[in-house]
Amino acid sequence: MRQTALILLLLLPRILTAESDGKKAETATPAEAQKAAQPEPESVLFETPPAVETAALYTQTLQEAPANVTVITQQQIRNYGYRTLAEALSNVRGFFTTTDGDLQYAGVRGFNLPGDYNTRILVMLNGHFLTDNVYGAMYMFGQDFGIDMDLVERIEIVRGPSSALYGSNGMFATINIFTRAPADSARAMVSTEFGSFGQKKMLVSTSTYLGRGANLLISGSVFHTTGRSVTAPELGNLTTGSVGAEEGYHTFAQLTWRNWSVTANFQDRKAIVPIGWFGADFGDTGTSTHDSHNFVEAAFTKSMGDGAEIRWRLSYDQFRYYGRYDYTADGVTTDNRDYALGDWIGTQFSYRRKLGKFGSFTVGTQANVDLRNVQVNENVSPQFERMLEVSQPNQSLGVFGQYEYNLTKNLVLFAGIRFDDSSVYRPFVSPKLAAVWKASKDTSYKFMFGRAFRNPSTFERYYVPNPLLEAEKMNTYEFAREQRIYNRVDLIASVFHYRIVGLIEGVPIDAQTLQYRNVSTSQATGFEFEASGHPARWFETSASFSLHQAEYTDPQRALPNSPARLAQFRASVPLARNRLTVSAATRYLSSRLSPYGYRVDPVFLADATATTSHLHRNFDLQLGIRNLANCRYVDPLSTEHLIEVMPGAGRSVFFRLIWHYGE
Amino acid sequence: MPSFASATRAGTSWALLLTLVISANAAASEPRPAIQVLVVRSSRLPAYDEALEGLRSILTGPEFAITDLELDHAAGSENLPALLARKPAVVVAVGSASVEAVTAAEHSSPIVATMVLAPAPETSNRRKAVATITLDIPPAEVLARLKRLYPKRNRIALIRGPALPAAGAARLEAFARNQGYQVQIFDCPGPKELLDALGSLRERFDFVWCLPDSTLYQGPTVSAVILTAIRYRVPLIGFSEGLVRAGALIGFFPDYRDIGRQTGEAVIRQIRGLAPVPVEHPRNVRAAVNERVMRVLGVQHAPDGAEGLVVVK
Repeated sequence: MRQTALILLLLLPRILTAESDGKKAETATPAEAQKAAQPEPESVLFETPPAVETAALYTQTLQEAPANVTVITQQQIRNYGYRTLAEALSNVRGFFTTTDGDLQYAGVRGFNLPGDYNTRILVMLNGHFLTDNVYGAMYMFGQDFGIDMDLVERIEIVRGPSSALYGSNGMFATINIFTRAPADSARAMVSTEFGSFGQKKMLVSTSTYLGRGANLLISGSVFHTTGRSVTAPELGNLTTGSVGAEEGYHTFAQLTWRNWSVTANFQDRKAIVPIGWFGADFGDTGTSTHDSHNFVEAAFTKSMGDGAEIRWRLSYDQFRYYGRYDYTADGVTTDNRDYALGDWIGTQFSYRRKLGKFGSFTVGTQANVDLRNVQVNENVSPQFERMLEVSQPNQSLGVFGQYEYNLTKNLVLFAGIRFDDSSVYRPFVSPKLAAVWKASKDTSYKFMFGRAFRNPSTFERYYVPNPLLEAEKMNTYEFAREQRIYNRVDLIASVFHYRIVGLIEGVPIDAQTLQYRNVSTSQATGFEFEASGHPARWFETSASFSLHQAEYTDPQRALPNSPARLAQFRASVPLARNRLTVSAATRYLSSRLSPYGYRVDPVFLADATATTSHLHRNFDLQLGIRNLANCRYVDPLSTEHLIEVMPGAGRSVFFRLIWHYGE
Repeated sequence: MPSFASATRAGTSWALLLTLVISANAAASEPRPAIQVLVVRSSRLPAYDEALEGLRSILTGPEFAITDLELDHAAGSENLPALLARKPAVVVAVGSASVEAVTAAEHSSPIVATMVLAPAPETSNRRKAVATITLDIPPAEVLARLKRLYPKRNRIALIRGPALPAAGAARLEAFARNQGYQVQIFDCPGPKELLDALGSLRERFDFVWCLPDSTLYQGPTVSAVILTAIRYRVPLIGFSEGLVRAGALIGFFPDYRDIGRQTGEAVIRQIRGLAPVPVEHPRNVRAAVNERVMRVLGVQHAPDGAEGLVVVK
């Protein structure tokens, strides 16, 4: 597998670019090449460079990271009709998303363990960590993600470990979501959305100039979905409705003034979970979860003028989870309540300095202090009984440094290290090394090594107590070749290998209870290839293919919910003089192993979206179809639920009407 | 009673007059050959299209036959000698690459150069254009407009790239000082030096004036320059609408359609045998301001002088 992946990596871009290189060599004479290199002096007047997003002033971009990066632009979000973060990620090379009927989960590089709450992917909103302090998770990829996609300017996805910069949880990928800066946003926008399964959503957003360089964006949305029906063959074809039923709101406000940015994000979602979650009664619409994650953050960024830049941020986060689970036994229904309360303060400071020909360095520190970290489980009827009450606030501190050195004009070396310590967990040192060799204007090679870790969450360590639980550690090696052809299409081929020691995984200790343990060592080797870009100016497309072999090593067996092959394709074409954009996206997941030991069928999904652009001066429409072929598929579930697999949603349609002013 | 001789003279006169009238009528009814104008342009750019529209609005009517040759187009360069061999009344060269091609070619037609940044340097083996309509906006125009829009801001850093000779920059500096501005020139041989320079300009100047220079503002470096300028809170004065849309605070740039009209008028003067003005600057200057950047930097312009100001997002 490894040898095959390496050979493919080295040969594929060569094969694909051979024709273009050959043509260049045949057609371009030295004189022509020289002429092409010297544009007409006046051409500078006629160029239309891309508009600079002022959001970049307040948030550090990840694009310069020595890593394998994908960027989803605002235009792509719009054209492909991405309504949730999960929809956007499902079309990204190497990513796949699954659902358990309540939450959406993102997998990458063949890793998406059922029962894991996305604890190994770090998600940030404008650089603010969205990981909560109880579950150490970012399990908000659906409507429970507190930002409406209409507000998103860009999503940057960096594959590979990021613990050397961000500490715990940055193992497989780091996702930074940039919202549109207030100055870049429409003065007013109203968006209404209706769709299958009783889906309704309305968003109102406004941005205003307050004077003296201060700009304010305020946005709020409400959503409601009645859900769909699911039949469980493993429960004698029992059927329940209201699967995926949810309602809630998102609010977002950002004030920017000179070097300051103040952000407030409040979100709340209540979902009905009638699918026998944690052994609750199947079909009981009283079983529900209620989550909210709110934060307020002040960030300061200042470019000092001598190549130095300081960034400082201070935030307060609040996380709430309330779950109600009904269990019926012997004709008696027990009303069980499970909740978690988290409040914490975080701060981060970084200083970056350019050293001329010696490159640049970044040093910084990050600290988090839990004000509250509480988990409770209790029965409230027929009689009150508190089974669990845990309060384990944690304090953590990280110190990091990163050095970027231009060894030669074309070879840049990166070295980073971070030290983390906390009041609950052991200290950890995360190094990172990378080299980027720019072989030519259009070709570059990247080699990356990173060591990452993930501390157990307080949920994993204390909910079903396991004092022996320790951090899991991961080493990742990656080699990539990036090539641009015809100045329009980017090719990337990469091969990676990772090994996780002390993998934390839920182990069933009874029918509906998992205890988290450092069960095993896991490793994967994989190959990814992607061609993306604009083959013609009007045509945007991407095609990718990923091969993974992810397994436990002792004893050697395949990881559950890990497709060995993943293929994705998307294309977007403007029609009617750019007044209408038609987009399509397809993805294929090969069969996956369920935790019960059998394989679920491969999945082929296709989506289509039509979006108008300035249909009317202030109005636009969008029509989207999801699972166009009405493919029947299932996602494996972890063993603590009553059902073994979650049937995916069939064909669905949505329609959006957008009114915007001053865009 | 008139004598026979006088009658003969009168008859002859009438006959001659009649012959003249008939001949004149005949001559008038015969189609006069159209004046051939060959337009040679470097490429198909929207700005060139606009200029050509302006040119055609002046060289209108059947007496002008305009041939449009695009050098970038397939066989465009190969067709040039053949078209010049037809001896057009005037050759209009649009863009510096076509000026170079036309002045280097062997032909006898007068050349009017247009849409170029500066008149082509005279060399022994090249012909000189009889008239040049440049894209260079007179600094007086920019400074006067700037004064009306931002009366309280008078500190300007002038970025000098390799394309602007030192003497030209010095003249510009002196002129701006006369207009009441504090100007300082910063030499930037390349984009990297420009990025470094922007850091040192923060809070010391009200504007950074960027003059068109393809060695400094080319391709992806433009975005880096603009982002760095905004990050350092340095308002840029740009030279194109594209630059303003990208993130310069304000920009002054020619009206390309009007440059086409100026070119057409120069062609007519040449055809009529009147001496064209050797070098003409754009007589109609447009200005645009970026509302987003205005909001981020908190730089508001005065309502006076905002007439005709294009506001872009």
